[in-house]
Amino acid sequence: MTPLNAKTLLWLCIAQGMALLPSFFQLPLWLPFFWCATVAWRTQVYRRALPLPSLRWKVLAAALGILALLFSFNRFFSVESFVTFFVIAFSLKLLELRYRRDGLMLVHVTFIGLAISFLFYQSLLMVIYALVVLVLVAHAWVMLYRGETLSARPDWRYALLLVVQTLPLMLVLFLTMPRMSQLWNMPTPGEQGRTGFSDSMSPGDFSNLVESDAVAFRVSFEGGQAPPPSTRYWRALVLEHFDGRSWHRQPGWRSSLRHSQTGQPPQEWEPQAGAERIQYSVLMEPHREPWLFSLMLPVSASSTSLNLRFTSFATLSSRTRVGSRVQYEVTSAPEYRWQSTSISSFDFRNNTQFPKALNPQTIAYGEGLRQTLGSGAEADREIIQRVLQRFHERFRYSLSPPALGEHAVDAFLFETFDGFCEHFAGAFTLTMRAAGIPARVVVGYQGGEWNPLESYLIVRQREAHAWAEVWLEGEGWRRVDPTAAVAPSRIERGLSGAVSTGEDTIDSAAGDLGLLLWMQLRLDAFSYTWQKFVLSYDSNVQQAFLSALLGGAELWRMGLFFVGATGSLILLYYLISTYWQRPKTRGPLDRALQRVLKQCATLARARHHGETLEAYLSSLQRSHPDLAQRLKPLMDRYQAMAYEPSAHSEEAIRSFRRACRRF
Amino acid sequence: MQLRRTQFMRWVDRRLPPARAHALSQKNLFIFPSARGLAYLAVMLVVWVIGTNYQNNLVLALAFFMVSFFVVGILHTFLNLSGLRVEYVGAGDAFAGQEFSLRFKLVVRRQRAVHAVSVCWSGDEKAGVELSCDGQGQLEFSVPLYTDQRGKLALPRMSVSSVFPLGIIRCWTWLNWDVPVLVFPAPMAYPLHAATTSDDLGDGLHPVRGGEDFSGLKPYQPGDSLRRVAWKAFARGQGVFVKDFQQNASREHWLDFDALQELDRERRLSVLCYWVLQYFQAEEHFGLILPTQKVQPDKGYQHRTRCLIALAEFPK
Repeated sequence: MTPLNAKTLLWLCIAQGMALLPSFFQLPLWLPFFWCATVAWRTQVYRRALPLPSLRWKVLAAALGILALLFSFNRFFSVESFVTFFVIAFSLKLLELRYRRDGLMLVHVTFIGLAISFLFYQSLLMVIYALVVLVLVAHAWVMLYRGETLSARPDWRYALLLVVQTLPLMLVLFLTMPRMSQLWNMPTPGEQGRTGFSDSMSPGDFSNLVESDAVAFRVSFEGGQAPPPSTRYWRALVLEHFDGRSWHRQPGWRSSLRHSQTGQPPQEWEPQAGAERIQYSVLMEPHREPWLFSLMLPVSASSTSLNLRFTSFATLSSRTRVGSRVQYEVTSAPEYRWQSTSISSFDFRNNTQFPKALNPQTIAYGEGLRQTLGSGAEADREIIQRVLQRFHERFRYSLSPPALGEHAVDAFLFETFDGFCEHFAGAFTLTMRAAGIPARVVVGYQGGEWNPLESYLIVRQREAHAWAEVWLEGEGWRRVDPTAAVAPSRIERGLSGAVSTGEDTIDSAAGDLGLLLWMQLRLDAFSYTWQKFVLSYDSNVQQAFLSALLGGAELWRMGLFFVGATGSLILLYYLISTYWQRPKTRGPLDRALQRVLKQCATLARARHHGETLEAYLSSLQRSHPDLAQRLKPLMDRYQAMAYEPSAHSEEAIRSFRRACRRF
Repeated sequence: MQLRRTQFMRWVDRRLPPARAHALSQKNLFIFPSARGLAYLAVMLVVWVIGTNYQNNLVLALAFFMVSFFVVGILHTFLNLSGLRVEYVGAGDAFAGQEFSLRFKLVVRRQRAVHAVSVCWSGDEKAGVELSCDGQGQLEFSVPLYTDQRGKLALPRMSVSSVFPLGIIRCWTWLNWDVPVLVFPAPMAYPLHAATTSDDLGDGLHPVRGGEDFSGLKPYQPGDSLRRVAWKAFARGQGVFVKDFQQNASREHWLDFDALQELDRERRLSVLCYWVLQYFQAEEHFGLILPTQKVQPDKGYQHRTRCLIALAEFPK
């Protein structure tokens, strides 16, 4: 049983620590210390300062780790708790390492640690970091099995060679290996990393998001052209239930998800036949929620990584929470009607309810409008116009509206006049309901920044938006954005154009168009390309890519490509290494000997392929003794020189060649 | 299973015929993942499952990296052994019941180092040697062997294997040696009462080689003592000769097979072997009488070897 060498162990630990370092940022703070403590203990054992821990110490350390684990997590079935448990387990295993085979286990753990780190971080930088770790692992690994007595150790170049030779093969596998869909559901990592809005809306929610530059999703459009900014309403959620302050989804909202067939939107949607369609592909950052984003009326949608479905609110949703970056393709109809002729009594009731006890002024305002303008579709339109007109005249769009009291909508509508999109959307919808018009709040994103470098739209968290939808007889559901009435530039030019100066930090950044902006766009374009082509390389992209590369995506083509590419790579490696490693002095000696052997071949017989010189000589001794007699001294000299390179000089080689020529 | 095993070994024998020197190449090298290689592939599978379940392309890429690393590892494990030559050098004295060693030579004709090649007899994996070489040169090594049978020894296959650089793939070969190894009987101490035939008269009727009286020159043969080389003749360029001495022995021992009636055949041979060694040590003259042959009395290393060979080759 070969014991584990101290230096090798140290390198193994370094590789492992580097593999786990990224995930340590996502795990409990004490964990890296626990890991370091076990590493320190093990190194002390090697320095003979400490003995290998006895069973009692090991049990104590394990108990300590498990206890800390129990205190750190309140949810046990999360990725983080599993990973923490895993790290504790192999940290303890570190205390037992004795033999070389245990070293191999450290290598395995390093690979798993790297996989875990990839769950948390997927940027290009992370990949470069991972490559460094892989070279480190390869180095430590080769140290584990190298010949201990050798003076020359397999060095970094050898580890680098192994990794460099592996990468092209990996690329072939990455491109050709078929992708499977999820085998079973896994808990999603990074619960604390939640960004974006939630499934309820209260005053102040969205103004918090404004601070965030984080990307929500990126979209590229078929044809490379985005629809105009004023129509870029990315619908995500429809909130129907109002409790006097916040808007929520209707309790029992699951009933609205009854349409579970993918690709089949509900019948009551009426896209205008024959009109143009917008096709786009959304690459979405994980938001740990099921809802997805789409424009206008989605008529078809598909995804390889998501289980998509249509909701009855004309939005898209995923069967599971979106825990990783996903891509989906949507076709939307810009011209459509929706429940144009009638609204179900269930929907009517849901979209006209409001608590009577709160916001009395607003309710009175709405009811007053109805009384003065009478009933009918025309009156409905007039009511909408009046309210929007009021917003336009009296209200101000602000990122930091004052706090509101118990009757939040009343305070906003009649006292402060200062608000953000959720204030306008909420107040407008309540007024409509008070006036008896079915209305609801829609949340999502509005706008997006166009990146001309790669022709795609970047939608950030600060573009989160809320607006309203009202139902008009004969027209169906129609979008009304009260924010547009207050600050039309918010819709036309984005947030930075809308907020009044002196109030905001985004302004300065936006004013500094030029190099900085270009760099920012360049960087984002780069990361978008990375995500779109590497991180989102799924079976669809694979099919498209391989059929473009091979002229078709049939199985035999892919098989042939795979076998051909891997085979030629391995052959290339073989040839390169045998060429590089050939003996230095072989050249002149061998050429001289070959000349002699050629003469022998004409005089007696040729040497068989693979026949050793001795065997050849002894067979000649039987058949052509005199030839063998002359050949033997040459052969002896050749053997001596070829196998003992230190024993021959330039002079010796020259004299050997002379002897051969004389022969 | 057993049958398949022997069939496989017969195939191996056909592929690797006995020889005195072997060049390792793709013709005679076998390569297969070791048990640890299977564990590695299992870890790779775990990484793949993580990647698939999280639909995470980078984790999948890591799994593909692991597979590719394995494949590159196969190549490098093979390259570590490929191109080496193993040659038979010679053997020391081999006695049954004692460990003895055969000497071989590892010849490296490339610049790349050879790492951790373990050489052992197949069936006895524990006793072996591990060889490493910095590249281009040769390395002599001996592999210990044990047998309790005297006579001509059929060498077991020699297993030459290496797991460098990754330890998860094993590359190996079984070398068959066309090498005569004669195992002498195990020496056994036993009194030689009547077995000694002493010529007590000492009237010099048995001229034996070796002694004090110079009797002439004879051509040098390997094994002759260097002390007896006629250096003067050599210096004159007449060739290498040794001085031959003769002496009329005054006392000589006869080791007689038939005198050890109370023992069985193998024991008798063992006893005779013991006494051959004893007399050689004491630099005494002795002869050997076997039912099949008679070795005339003499002394010296060559005589000892002749006697031992006679004992080893005694028909069973």
